[in-house]
Amino acid sequence: MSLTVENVSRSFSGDKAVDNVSFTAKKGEIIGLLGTSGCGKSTVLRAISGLDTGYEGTITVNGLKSRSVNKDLGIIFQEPRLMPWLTVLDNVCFGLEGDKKEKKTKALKLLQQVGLHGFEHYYPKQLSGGMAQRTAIARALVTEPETLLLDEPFSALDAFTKLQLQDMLLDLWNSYQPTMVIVTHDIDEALYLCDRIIILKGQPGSVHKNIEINKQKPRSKADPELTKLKGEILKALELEKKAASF
Amino acid sequence: MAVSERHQNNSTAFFAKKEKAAQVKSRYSILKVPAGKIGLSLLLPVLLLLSWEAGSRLQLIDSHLLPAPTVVLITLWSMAADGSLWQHTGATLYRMFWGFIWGTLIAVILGSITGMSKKVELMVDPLIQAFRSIPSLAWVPLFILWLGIGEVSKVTLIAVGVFFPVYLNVTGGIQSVDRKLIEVGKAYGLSTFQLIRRIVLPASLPSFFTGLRSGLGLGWMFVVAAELMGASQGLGFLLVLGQNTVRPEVILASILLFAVLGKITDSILKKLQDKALHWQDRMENNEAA
Repeated sequence: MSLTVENVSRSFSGDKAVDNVSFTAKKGEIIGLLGTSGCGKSTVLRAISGLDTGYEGTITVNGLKSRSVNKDLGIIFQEPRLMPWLTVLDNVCFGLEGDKKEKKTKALKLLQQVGLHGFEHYYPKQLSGGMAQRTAIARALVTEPETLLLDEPFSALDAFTKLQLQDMLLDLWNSYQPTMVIVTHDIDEALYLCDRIIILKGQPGSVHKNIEINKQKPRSKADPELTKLKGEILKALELEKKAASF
Repeated sequence: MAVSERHQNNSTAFFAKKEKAAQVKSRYSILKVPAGKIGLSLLLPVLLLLSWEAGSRLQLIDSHLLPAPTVVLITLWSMAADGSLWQHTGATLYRMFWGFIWGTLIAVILGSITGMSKKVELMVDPLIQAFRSIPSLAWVPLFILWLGIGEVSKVTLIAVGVFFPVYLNVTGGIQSVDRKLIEVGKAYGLSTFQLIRRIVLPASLPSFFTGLRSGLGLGWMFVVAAELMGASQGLGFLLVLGQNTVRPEVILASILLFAVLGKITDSILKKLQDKALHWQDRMENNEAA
């Protein structure tokens, strides 16, 4: 068991935002936290990351209780959050320690993998949104974390870039096999990437459904089974009526 | 449906070519000097100088009050020849240098502490703000009384002038560092010291430079004030000397020197600023693109 979240609740100044959320992730599993805006998806992710320690409940990473930031965790935020004064290469090296040459070799290898070969001396201001997010992904992966947390990583990108980066993420997952927890509000994205989708609902948010998808990746987006699942999810989120009336 | 890896790499290579082409283009456009624009901005000053010179020569302007530009230049020339120009400029630059260094140093130390700690800010900031509202020239008599008429009181006065803008900008710069970037550092488990060194300092550098440049401007103002009151050398002393000996050309020469020195020191800082902050996504940096 690589990641366990047990009865996690979180209140902000008296108001409960997340109530009793529990789930587990097997090693190498891709988990999707899906829900409408304001249901506490990101709150759960921040609790796992250790950036927020004000929660109740237990989070176990690799069998160890975790209450602080952890070297085994990598985080990718919604925005790239690159240091504007560092080059792409130095940004990727940001979380690495040790020998300079070694750091550079590792970073260059990852930059190649995310398709940014030749851009290592660019500054963030010269990058497009997609390139910046690729850099951020490289920065998170270069430390080879066992668990990767992604907070709506592609929601600020245009549709085409989003598709490209989803495929890139699957390629990277193939080569590093990290456990991943992806927060998303995009049902198609969740169906395309995840082995398990956890639907959070309500205010405070709690686990509404835990759906396992046993399907080989990469998946076809037109797969009838997935389409059926999508209908179920829409129904679960009580969005179907609205969707039909549009 | 899936976009293949090869596709991705192709599109990235395409991006690369496009961006490199754009860069090359912008590099050349910097070299192109728009001669027409320079001519236009020189037109008015040149006309003004010419009519001033002509007015003086034709005795339309009383040259005892406003000597011709050439007379001012000749005065400068003779001062350079007898060495007094270098002596006075040197004295002023010396005071400016130490005042600027001390003012900046104290401002950076105090400013970083108040910027980092809310408690210290609550304790120290009101006091500093109160001192700031005192017109700094009001300190002059006190400084002279305490520190004498020598260099120390002058340097102190300049340092006071430089202190406030640098302090305010350092504090403000640190407080406005993007919380999201700090979070990235925290996610990598950086210690407080590492957070400061690797994120807070570089992120507040732009604001620091803004403070330095306005501090320098105020420093030049204060050096004049300091030298107007009891100095035996320096450009400010030249102003007084010109007034007492009724030689407006000496006053004008001194004013001209102040302007030139102020401009030179500011452009040195600007150069440093551009070098240190080339990564910034600013309007100014993108002008050439």
